[in-house]
Amino acid sequence: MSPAAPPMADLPPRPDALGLPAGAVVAVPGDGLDVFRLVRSDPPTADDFRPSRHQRRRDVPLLFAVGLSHYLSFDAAAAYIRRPGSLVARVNLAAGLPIHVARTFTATNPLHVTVWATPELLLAHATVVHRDR
Amino acid sequence: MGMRYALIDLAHADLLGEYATLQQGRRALEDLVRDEPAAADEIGLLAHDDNGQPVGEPITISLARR
Repeated sequence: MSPAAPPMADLPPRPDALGLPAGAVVAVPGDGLDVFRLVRSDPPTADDFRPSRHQRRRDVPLLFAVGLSHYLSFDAAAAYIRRPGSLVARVNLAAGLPIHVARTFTATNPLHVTVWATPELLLAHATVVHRDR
Repeated sequence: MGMRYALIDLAHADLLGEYATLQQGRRALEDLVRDEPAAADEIGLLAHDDNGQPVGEPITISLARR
């Protein structure tokens, strides 16, 4: 008999739930998950989905130099708005495409994920969400 | 657990690093801006509460210098 599959409801998986050490990163295919990111215009542009130059510093792990911060809920992303003009976009990590996502920096924010994909791919699946806060 | 601190690219809320103390976070912010002065207005240190909620206004080097 094959071992039971882990529950699928809690994706991306929490590394600690898998018995992995702090700092472990478990990336999985996007598989249709909706995530949220701050953007600067409606509609967003590809520049909203490019890693910033600050992510390419030598003290930032290479793993994060090419990934982008997203959040697992609208409210979690909106909580970071500190500048006029910032907006929240919903990004559908469409299944079957080269998009990966992992929970990261969870000691600080359990709803933070890093997404790896090209700017064009993310832009094609992004829509600004207007919601009264 | 207490407050935690994250270095953040403010335009898109990209997290660059996380720290257990304000002192560690400030040191990382100062190092970053020393290497890259243009980051003074772009990168901030933001406190997070026990639930992972960002709290208050970010500390930026340009604010600290005023």
